Amino acid sequence: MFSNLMQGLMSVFSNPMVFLLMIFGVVSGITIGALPGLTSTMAMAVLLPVTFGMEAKMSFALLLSVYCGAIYGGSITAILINTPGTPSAAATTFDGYALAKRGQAGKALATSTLSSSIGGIISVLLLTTIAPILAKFTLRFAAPEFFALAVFGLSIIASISNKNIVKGLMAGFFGLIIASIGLDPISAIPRFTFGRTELLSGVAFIPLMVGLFALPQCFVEMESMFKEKTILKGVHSKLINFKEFLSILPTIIKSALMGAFIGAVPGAGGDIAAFTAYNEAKRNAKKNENFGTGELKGIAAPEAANNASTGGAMIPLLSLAVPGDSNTAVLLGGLIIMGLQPGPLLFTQQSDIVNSIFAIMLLANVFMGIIGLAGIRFFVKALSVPKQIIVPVVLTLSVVGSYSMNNSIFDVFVTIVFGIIGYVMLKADVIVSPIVLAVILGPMAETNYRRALIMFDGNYSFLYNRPITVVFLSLAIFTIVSSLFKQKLFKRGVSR
Amino acid sequence: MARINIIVALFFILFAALVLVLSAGIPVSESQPLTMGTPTFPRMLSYGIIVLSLILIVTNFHEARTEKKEDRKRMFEPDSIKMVGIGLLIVFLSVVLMVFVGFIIAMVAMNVAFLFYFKVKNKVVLIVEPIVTPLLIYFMFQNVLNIPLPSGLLFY
Repeated sequence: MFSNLMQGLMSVFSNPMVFLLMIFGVVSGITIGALPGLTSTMAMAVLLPVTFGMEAKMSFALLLSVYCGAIYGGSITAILINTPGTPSAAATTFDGYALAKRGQAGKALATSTLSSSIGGIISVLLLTTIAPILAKFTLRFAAPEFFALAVFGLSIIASISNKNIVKGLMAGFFGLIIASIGLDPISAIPRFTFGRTELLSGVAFIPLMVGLFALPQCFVEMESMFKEKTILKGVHSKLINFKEFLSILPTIIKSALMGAFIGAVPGAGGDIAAFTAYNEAKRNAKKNENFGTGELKGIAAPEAANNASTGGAMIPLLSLAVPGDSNTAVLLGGLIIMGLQPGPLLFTQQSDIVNSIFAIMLLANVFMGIIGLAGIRFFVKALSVPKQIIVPVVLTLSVVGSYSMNNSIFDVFVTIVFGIIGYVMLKADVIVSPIVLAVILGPMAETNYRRALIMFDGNYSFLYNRPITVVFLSLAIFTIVSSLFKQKLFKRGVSR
Repeated sequence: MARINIIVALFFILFAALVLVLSAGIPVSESQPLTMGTPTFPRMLSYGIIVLSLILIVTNFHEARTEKKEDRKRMFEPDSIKMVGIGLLIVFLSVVLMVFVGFIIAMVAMNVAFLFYFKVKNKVVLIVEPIVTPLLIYFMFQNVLNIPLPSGLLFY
C-alpha cells in the first residue's frame, strides 16, 4: 500500500512547479480559511477555473493544498477572536479562545497547528491503506443509518452545554426550527418563508454563523471598550513544550482516526467530525471540567479531527465517485473537467494520478504544519492591534463574508438578526454552538427520518432492527445521559 | 441567574407558540405519509421547546423566589444597551447605504463612524484604516477571488 504513496512522492518531487503551487495553495487556504465567512469550498470553487489550463497533477496540487490549508486556517480566528473562520473550527473556539484570553494564544495556535498537521497526515495514511475497506462499510449506510448518525451528532449538544443542559437543548431545538425554514426536503412545500424567495433554500449557513459568532463578540468588545481601558494580557507567542505535546498526542491520534472515519461518511464533514472528537475527548478526560477553560486537548481534538476528515472525505470520492462533503464535490467537478472518472477504474487505469493525490495531500499537510508554526508570531501579533481598530475590520469582513456567499444583501440582514439573537443569548448565558450544530444536522436528520419512514411504510422498526442504527442511537442516548449525570456531579461538587 | 432563566424560558415558549401558529398555515399534501407531513417536524420541535422551557421554569422557580435583591444578576446594563444599540444602528445604516452607494463608500462611512464612536484620536488611524480596510477587501474579492461586491444603485 505504501509503495503507491512512494510512487506518488517520486512523481511529485520530479516537478518543482507542483511544490510552488502547493506552497501558494497552503498559504492562500490558510488566509481564506481564517477570514470569517469565506469557506474552503468557496476558495476551491473560485480557484477551480484557474486550474483549467494546468495538467492534472498541478491542478490537484493547488486545489488540495487550498482545501487542507483552509480547514486549518479556520482555527486561527476561532482562537484569536472567537470567530471560527470555517464551520469546522466552531468547536475550537471553546478552548482555543479561552486559552488565548489567558494570554497563551501562541500555545493555542501551536496546538492547533500540530494537531491539524498530524491529523491530516494520519488521514492520508489511512486513505492510502484502508480506503477500500472504509468505502465498503459506508456503502451500507441508508436513510436509517444517516438519521441515527445525525441524532448522534445532535446528542453532542448535551455534552457541549457545560453549565445548563436544558438551555443547551433549547438552543438546539431552536436551531432545528431555523433549519426547517425553506422548502420541505420531501414534498417541496415552503415552510416559514413569508413569501421571500431568498428563504426557499433555507437560512444561508454562512450569514447565520457569522451573525452568531462574530457580531456578538464585537458587541461585547464595544461594551468593554467604554467601561474600562482594555489592555490585553501579556500575549506570549510561546509554543507548547515537548511534555505537553506528548500529553495531547493520544488525543490527536484518536481524534484523527475518528475524523477520518466521519469524513468518509458522505454528508458528514469536518464540522461534525470536530464536534464529535471534542465530545469524545471531553468524555474521556480525567478532569473534564477543565474543558471550555483553555484545555489543550479541547483544541487538539477538534483540530485533528477536522483536518483528518479531509483524507476521509477523499475515500468515497476516489473509490465511489461520491463526494463526502461540499469540498470534495468541487474536487469531483475538477476530476471530471480533467477527463478523469473517479471510481474503482481510476485506481487501475490512472493509478499515477491517484498516487500523486495521496502524495500531494501528505505533503500539503506537512507544509501546512511548517507554514502554520512559522506564522504563529504574526498571527499572535494580530491580538496586539487595538480593539478600536479590530472591531470595525471584523464588522466589515462580517458584512462582506455574509454578502459574498449568494451575492445577497438579504443575507447581510440575516447576519444582523442572528447577531442580535446571539448577543441576547450570550447575555442570557445560553450557548449558541448548539444552534450551529442543529442547523448543520437538522436537514440530514429530518430528511433521512422521513425517507426511512417512507422506506418502511410508516413502520418504526428501522430504529431497532438495523445494527449500525442501533449503535449510533445507543451512543446518542449514552452521551445525553452521561452529560446529565456529569452535570449533576459537577453541581454537587460546586455546592460543596 | 434563576430569574434570567425564567425570562429565557418564557421567551422560548412564546417563540414555540409562534411556530405552532405559523405551522398551522402550512399546507399538507395528500401524497405525504400520515406519519410525517410538512408541518410535523417543526411542531414536534415546538412541543419539545415548551417542555424544556417548563423544566427550566420549574427547576429555577424556588431559587428565583428566594433570591436576594442584591444577588440578582441583570441581563443587560442600561449603558450596554445604549452602546450596543448605537453600534448596531451604524452597521444597519451602513448596509442600507451599501444598497445605494455600493460597498466601498458604505464601508468607508461605517469604519469612520465606528472610529469616531470609539473616540479614536490618532489622525493617521482615522484616515488610513477606513480607506485601506474596505479597499483591500474590495480588491481581494473583486480581483483575486472574482466575487462581485455591490456597486450601488446610484452607480449601476
